[in-house]
Amino acid sequence: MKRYLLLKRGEIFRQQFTIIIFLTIISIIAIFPIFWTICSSFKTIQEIYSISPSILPKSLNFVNYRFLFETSVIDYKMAILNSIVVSIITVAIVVLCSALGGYGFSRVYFKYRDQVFNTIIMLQFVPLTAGIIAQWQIMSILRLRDSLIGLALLLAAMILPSSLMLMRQVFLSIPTELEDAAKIDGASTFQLLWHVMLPLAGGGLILVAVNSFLFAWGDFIYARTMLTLPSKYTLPVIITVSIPTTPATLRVATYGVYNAAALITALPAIIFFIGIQNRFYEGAREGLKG
Amino acid sequence: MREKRYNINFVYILPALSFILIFNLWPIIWGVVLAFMDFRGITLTGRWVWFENFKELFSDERVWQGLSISAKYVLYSYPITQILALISGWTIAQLRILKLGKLYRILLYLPVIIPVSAGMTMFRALYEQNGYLNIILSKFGSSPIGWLTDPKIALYSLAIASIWRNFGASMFYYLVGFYNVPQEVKESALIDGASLWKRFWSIDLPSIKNMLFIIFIQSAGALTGGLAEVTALTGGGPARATTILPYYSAEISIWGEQRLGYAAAINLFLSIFTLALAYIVIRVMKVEKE
Repeated sequence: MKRYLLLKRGEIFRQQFTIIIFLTIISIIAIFPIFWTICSSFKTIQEIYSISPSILPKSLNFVNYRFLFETSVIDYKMAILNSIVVSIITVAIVVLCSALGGYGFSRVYFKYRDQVFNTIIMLQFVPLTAGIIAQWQIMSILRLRDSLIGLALLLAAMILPSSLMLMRQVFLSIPTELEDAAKIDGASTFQLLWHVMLPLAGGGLILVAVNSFLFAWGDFIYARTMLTLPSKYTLPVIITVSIPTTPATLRVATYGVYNAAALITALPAIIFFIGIQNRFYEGAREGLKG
Repeated sequence: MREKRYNINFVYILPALSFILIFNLWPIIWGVVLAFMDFRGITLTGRWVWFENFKELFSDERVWQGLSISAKYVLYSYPITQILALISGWTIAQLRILKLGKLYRILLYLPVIIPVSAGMTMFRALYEQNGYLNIILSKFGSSPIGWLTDPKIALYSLAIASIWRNFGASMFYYLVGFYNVPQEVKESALIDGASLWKRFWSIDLPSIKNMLFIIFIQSAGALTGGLAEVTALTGGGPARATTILPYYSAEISIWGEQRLGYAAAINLFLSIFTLALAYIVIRVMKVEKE
């Protein structure tokens, strides 16, 4: 007998209602800066600087976006391109290395395997400040400091530990029967990986790819430290450095423009995140259980 | 063991390992070595100075100023972040309409997923002299506040932006923890007809106590954070009011006089300080458990 029906229906309804009110308020606070940015990006200068500004723009005015793509003072187009290049290279490296590495750490054996894996896991808990000065120096010596490829290599190395951990978990969850069957047929370990394991690990690889994309696309501090040439700036860097360096006459124009730029930076991340939302939570639920 | 012969299997982790070694693990080790050297600029040779950097550090007023600003920054932002995250994570887990829970967890996670520099740019728009916050204030008849220009206020503004950005990440962990509370435990509480509040204190909270333990330890680690937020939002200003210690170390090395050895020493000092603090937290919590 389901005795919890004893808890009155009215009581449950009241509780749920309170929770929904609370969460709605928190959500509004959480998305308000984003909402305000969207609105401002469509406002003209007059609207932004009027004595009694309204939240919503009077009309969908694309003047800020047009400025963004036409201005020659700040090269936003180049920054978008740079961000795309860095993200693609990072994702490619991370997907390739974590597919191979995750397999190596889970399904094949070699000496010191677990010791190496545990060391890599611990790297995730080392704060960014512990390595950044030396990273800057090493990147300088390797002449990778003002290079987009260099930045991508660095970013890949920073996101690889968690990606390896995830891929290892994915490979471990694949039943061994399939592998045994292929082994009896005389498949090598690489054939096993390519024909049997990888097709089954597709979901995990997508999660790794999106994760590393979000990391590379959103990276600010590594790009801000490693890139000094304005022509190499990625989007997250250019939207913060452009404002103080913009001539005063143009600054008025850039108020709405940098809102538009922030939005363009945020949008791909939001889209990709919503795309993998379910997998994100399920993955974490399983991961934290184990 | 038969498998031990296959040491060639090592090749699977080789690509991942080489990236991690060069750009992640080695810089952390080299960072410690650097702290005992005098290294300026991008020269290949440094000079051993042993403890000179640390001697200088202890008498450097700006280091102590940075440490105290870091501490204040954590004090203003970390507890509120965690409480907000705990409550929202728990309430989302209590929702009976699962679709609604999904919606809230997307909305509350958006600030985390948005690149940090885009988020801070959004806040810069809110904090502007004629930004939204000052518009609201003026509606209540108050004079505008220099959110980012008044040295007395800037650190609070930074903390608010940081709470906004980071509480979703913690909420995610709490939420996963609450989702993983065994179904039997949840049902037994419902049978007892326990009130919402009682369920929180006597069932759900104790079932994530390991997680809470980690959160407390991490509070010490938060001291090393904030570099990206400060760089994007305030640039350490006004009048050094938001120059947290990690920013100071970057300022005198990467973005300034390139005193790499000294900056590495500051970061090492911060790491050791953080570890010591974490150790104290662990000891205190163990005593309370007994």
